[in-house]
Amino acid sequence: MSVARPTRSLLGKYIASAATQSRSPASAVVCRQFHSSAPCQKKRRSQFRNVKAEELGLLKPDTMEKYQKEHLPDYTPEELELLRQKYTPEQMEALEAAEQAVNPGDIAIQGRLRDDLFRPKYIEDFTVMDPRYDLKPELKGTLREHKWDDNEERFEEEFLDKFSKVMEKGTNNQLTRAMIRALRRVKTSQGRDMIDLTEAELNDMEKDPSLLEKYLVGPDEREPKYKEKETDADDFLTRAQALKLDEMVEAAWQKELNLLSNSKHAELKPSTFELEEDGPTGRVRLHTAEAVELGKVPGVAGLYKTSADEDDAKDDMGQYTELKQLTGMSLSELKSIYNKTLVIRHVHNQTRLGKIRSISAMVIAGNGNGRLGLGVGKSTQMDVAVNTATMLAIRNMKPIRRYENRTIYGNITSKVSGTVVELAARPPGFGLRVPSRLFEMCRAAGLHDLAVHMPRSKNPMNTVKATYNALMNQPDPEEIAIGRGKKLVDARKVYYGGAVL
Amino acid sequence: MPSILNVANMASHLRNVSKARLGITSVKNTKYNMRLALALHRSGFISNVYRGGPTPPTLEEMASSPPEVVTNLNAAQMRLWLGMKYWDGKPVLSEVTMISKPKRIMTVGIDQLAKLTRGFSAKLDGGVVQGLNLGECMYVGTDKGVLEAREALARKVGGVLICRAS
Repeated sequence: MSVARPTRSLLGKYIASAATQSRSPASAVVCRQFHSSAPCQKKRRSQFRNVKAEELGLLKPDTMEKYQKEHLPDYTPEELELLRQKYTPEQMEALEAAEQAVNPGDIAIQGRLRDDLFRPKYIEDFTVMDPRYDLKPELKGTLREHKWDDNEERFEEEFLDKFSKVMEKGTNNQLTRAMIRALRRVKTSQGRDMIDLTEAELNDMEKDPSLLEKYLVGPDEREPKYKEKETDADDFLTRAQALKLDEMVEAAWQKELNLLSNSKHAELKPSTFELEEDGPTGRVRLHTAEAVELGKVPGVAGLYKTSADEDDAKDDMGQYTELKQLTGMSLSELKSIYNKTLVIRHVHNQTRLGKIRSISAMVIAGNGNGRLGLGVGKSTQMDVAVNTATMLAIRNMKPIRRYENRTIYGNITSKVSGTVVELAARPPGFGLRVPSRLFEMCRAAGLHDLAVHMPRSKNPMNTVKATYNALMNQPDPEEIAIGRGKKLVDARKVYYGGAVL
Repeated sequence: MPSILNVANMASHLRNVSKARLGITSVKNTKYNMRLALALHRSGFISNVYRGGPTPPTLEEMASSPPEVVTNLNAAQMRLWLGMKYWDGKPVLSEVTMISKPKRIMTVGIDQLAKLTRGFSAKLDGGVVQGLNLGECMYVGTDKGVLEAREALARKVGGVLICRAS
């Protein structure tokens, strides 16, 4: 396709529209589509009417005002007062100017204030990481392969050393936290502000006990700071006050210690973080999903003795290995399953080279107690076909419904092609008055009283298939009763205390 | 003796409806139809029977409100609305087959009815009728209304064998 052609096609519409005025429409260039699908006749419209905000009444002045009051209220005098405490007058001026510069009406219309369930909790707070939006900071450090130490004793020593260090650190932290809690309690209970630590400082310290040194113990003076408040001369503590404060702190501290010793968590455990840090991969493992290579792990070779599977001797061909895994039955159970080859067909595929013979076998398998399976196997070899079919039949074994473990529920009819099989339940002692193939099926399934009528074709394969279908799809009286909302009682199980033959 | 034709139409309609998995359907409003529908309702095959106008009632209406009043103005428009039942993905009422036909009405006496309800086939005037199978119900039109075969036997009345349902 030449380059000129599409350009002409593109512009064709306009050329054509101009041409129609002067020339005949037959000379108009046909406008081609860029795709092969059939062109759409007219512009597709959404089948839903577009509801505008105006129609919904969202743009009315009173609605707007209500919304603004609700969502974008002005600062109350109390809030302003609080802000003034926090910010300098210049900052406050800037804040007020900014407030005036932005019209809340504009925010209401143009701003997208989210009120959905998944809206972020903050508008813009970059102090906290949110994994939904924020990129993970890159970690410094490289993955290293762990070197397994041959000397076990040395390893144990080192490990114990590390562990005791971690424990010691943990205990210290806990005690520090308890101290901080005690201080806070004294601070809140005391009317006068005698401890020179703000609430925020205390919070920080509780989060990270290592800050204690920075706050509490100055570098030059090794004295806790809480006793003095030296800014004002009249704020000096008297000796009596200082003693009292000491006592109170001591009491609170004792209380915290008691709490610690009584609580369940008194026993200190290192956190997973600390354990990981000393693990084979170090801290890096905490921040990556990727596991580092473990190096060469000494295997279990020679540690276990291979026990000779006693089944292996009996199943030297290994026919049953797969079946054992699939069914979970033992070899003796599998071998005790009753199976019977019901249909053998010699099939010929006629090609130009001649007939290719193969054999198809249909086998049933059952445990004689309510389970029945049907399998079909094909091969050029008779024994292979039969064996395959048997294995399939054992694999396909499913429970069938039996009334009193001897006959079926009701009369069932099943049809496969031209073969119709009518099975009928019969009283105890009736026996199996059925064709030979079905007799084998009944025997495998554990049915003892049954009558079968086959009014039409007696094709062996279809007979077996139809009977199998019929036995699998028996009606369930309980389900029928539930569907109709009736109570169901088996009279044979009620009269004479159920002692019926 | 009312005609059995409307009942035959109802039977085949119900069979079609259960195949189409409809929740509610309507049949012609006749006395015979209504009695059969009530008998089916007693057996638990259908959930509701409601006589109403040409528009389908809601299930709540069918269950709670009294049937619409029939006057000589709306009598011709009345329908019998039946609620169908389904359980475990299968229809509760799947087969409704007529036994009697308009051309060949089959009546049954008490002794033959007893055989039928026990599951044995019975030889009647019109031909042989198969006995009841598991989960099957047979409906008999008697002078005490349309009854299930077991009900009729309990009351010792025979009558016209209408249909069998399962």
